[in-house]
Amino acid sequence: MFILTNAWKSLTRSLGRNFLLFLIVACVAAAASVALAIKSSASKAEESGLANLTISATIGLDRQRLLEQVAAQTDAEGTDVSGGARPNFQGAFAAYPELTLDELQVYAGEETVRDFRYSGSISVDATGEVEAVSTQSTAADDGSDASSDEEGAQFPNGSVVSGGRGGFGGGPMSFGGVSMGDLQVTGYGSESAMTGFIAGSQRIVEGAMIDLTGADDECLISDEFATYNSLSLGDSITVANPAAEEETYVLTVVGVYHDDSASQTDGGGMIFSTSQDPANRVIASYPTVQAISSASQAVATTTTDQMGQEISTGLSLTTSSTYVFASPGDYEAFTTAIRAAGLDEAYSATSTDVESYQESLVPLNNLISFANTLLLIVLAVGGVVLVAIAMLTIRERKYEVGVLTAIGVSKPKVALQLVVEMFLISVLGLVVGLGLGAVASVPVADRLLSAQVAAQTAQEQSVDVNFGRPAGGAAVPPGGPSQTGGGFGDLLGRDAVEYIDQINATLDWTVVLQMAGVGLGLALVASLVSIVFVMRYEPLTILANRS
Amino acid sequence: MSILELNNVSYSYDGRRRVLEDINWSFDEHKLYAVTGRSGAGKTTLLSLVAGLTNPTEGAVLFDGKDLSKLDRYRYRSHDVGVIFQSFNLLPHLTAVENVELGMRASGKRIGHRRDQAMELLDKVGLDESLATRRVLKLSGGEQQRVAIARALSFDPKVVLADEPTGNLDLATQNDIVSMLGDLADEGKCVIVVTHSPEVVECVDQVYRLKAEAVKAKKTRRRQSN
Repeated sequence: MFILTNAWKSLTRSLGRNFLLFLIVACVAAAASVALAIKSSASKAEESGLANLTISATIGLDRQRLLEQVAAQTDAEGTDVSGGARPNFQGAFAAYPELTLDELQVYAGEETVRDFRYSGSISVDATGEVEAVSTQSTAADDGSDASSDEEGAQFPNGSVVSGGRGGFGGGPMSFGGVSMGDLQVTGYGSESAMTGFIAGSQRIVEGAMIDLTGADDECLISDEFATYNSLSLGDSITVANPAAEEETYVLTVVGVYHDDSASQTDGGGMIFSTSQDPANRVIASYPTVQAISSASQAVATTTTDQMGQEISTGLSLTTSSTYVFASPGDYEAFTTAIRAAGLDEAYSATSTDVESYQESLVPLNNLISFANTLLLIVLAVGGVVLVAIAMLTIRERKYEVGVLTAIGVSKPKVALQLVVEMFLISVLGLVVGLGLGAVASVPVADRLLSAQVAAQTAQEQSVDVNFGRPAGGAAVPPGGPSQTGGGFGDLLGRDAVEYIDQINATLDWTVVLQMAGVGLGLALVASLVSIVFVMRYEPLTILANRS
Repeated sequence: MSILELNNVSYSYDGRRRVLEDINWSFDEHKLYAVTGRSGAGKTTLLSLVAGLTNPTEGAVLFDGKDLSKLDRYRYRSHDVGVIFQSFNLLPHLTAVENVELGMRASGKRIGHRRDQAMELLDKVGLDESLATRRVLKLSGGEQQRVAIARALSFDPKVVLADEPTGNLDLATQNDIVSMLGDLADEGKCVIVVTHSPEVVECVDQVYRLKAEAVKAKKTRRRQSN
């Protein structure tokens, strides 16, 4: 009680000196709490982002691995590859075809797989009354007069669209033996696979959603396509096999959807085929697309090209599948499990989500690093200043120590009184500092993070410009590009990383406790100085010197 | 048995400069003593030894027959001896009454109604309420001296030591203070005054004189009562 009473009296009677100490502690506490809040919230954002990160992966042929295998096999067999001869990679690739949906679905049964999404696409020609939408910037139009001779329509934004076949020179275009039409019919196996609709870039504006479970030849068309061809609900569109024009299929329009990416296409990017234009994307159920492909394959004829490769006129179904995992750990477990389930070494599961997420954390990590440095500087400077002031204070209070010990107050009691004073000031400074920190942490963190994001984006754009790409590119959230997007467009510009630019840097209990530790630690250091000095002082010496 | 005894006490600073040599004095309760001597004779050093602020380099100071160097000297200073320092040694950030209360609280003794008792003590030494509630820096030298006396008495010690209690005071105040110290002796305390003042020496029961070369005790006549 004696100590507390004396400490309180000393605090209230020497306001100037104590206010200075309080101010230092409050400033250190405010700066440190901002730094800790930033650090803590950034780490939490990183952890929760990683915890909530949905990983999507695909299983495909590991080309590099296959090439290495073939090269190793060729070496082992002693085949002479000198003189320009190459190992038979084509044969090796032919031995490992794309996995079928049935095969892919086997691995979807793994318990770590949260969702399995799949879709299939066929490339067809619009025929009859229906024509594909084509803009002037289409490579086919730029490279040939064939399409430009056809009638065109002027859209309100000034962009001239014209009907016409996709592909270079207006003729059927072929990639890898697959004929390219001017429409792409994409069949989805589930609504979860329709990421454009889930993300909101696509939405039905008229009619209803198709039934994804049945092969009922129903489809959704884009609003641009509907407008261009004056199509309405219930109308039929006839599509033909680009490799066999007489082979046609009829789809019934049950809904019209709007695609933001289609309406934003301004002709700035080069499109090799009109089927790549989002407006020319017809959406159906996977069974419908599969049925068309099967029917086409049934009547297909096969020829052999000059390279000896077999070319079928049948509509080839390109299946795209995605496995979705709840966490990076589940994805890792899946990569092991599929091997155990018998997936050939030539195939592998790949995902770029974790890397993308890590890349999106760059500004956040910079911010954490900044917060760490700030914390270190603040604590070091604050500690040194506090100790210096404590030393000056105790020298100034030497007389008081002398008087107290002369009238019989023991040195430990006097030292304890000084410690209590320092702790009371520290607690008060800590509370006020925390208050200031709580007010300042959110705007400071937001400002610093946005500066980091801006700096990082500017750097990315600079790199893009250096490589001759449009600055920025399309922002892609972690999780990969939309399945309905992508295609050749992705080859034209590098995907921009969507950086984490929001953290909630509010003070929580963890920060408060950390700050309490920091503040009391500083007070302890300063108090130790007092204790050392007091224990060295002899009352007789102090009072004799004073006299 | 005397309450305080100096047995062959010698003291030297830094082990070389000997200030006190072989002193054998005793002090009893109910008596007022004066310790005199020229400047540098070791008066204040002797008072420091008796106050328990330091230990003799030779010999022993006995309090109630016990060697002070073997006792808890903090407890001795806070419980048994009240010291009125020459430069008062009051805490400037406290008021007069708070300084007196500080002495009470430092003793650890159970003293009820501390504020009232402190005010009473200050009144006894001639400081009214308005002076008692002033910070000591705003009091005159004589008033500060009275506060120092009140603080020394605040915990009812058996021994009261005063170092030049009348120095720089006018004659009337000197008389007041000496009279007050005499009263304390009458109340049963052992009061030891270190002084140069012949007026004070005239009033004490016994005088111990310190000389640089020798120490000699001389009895004087009984102080005159006021």
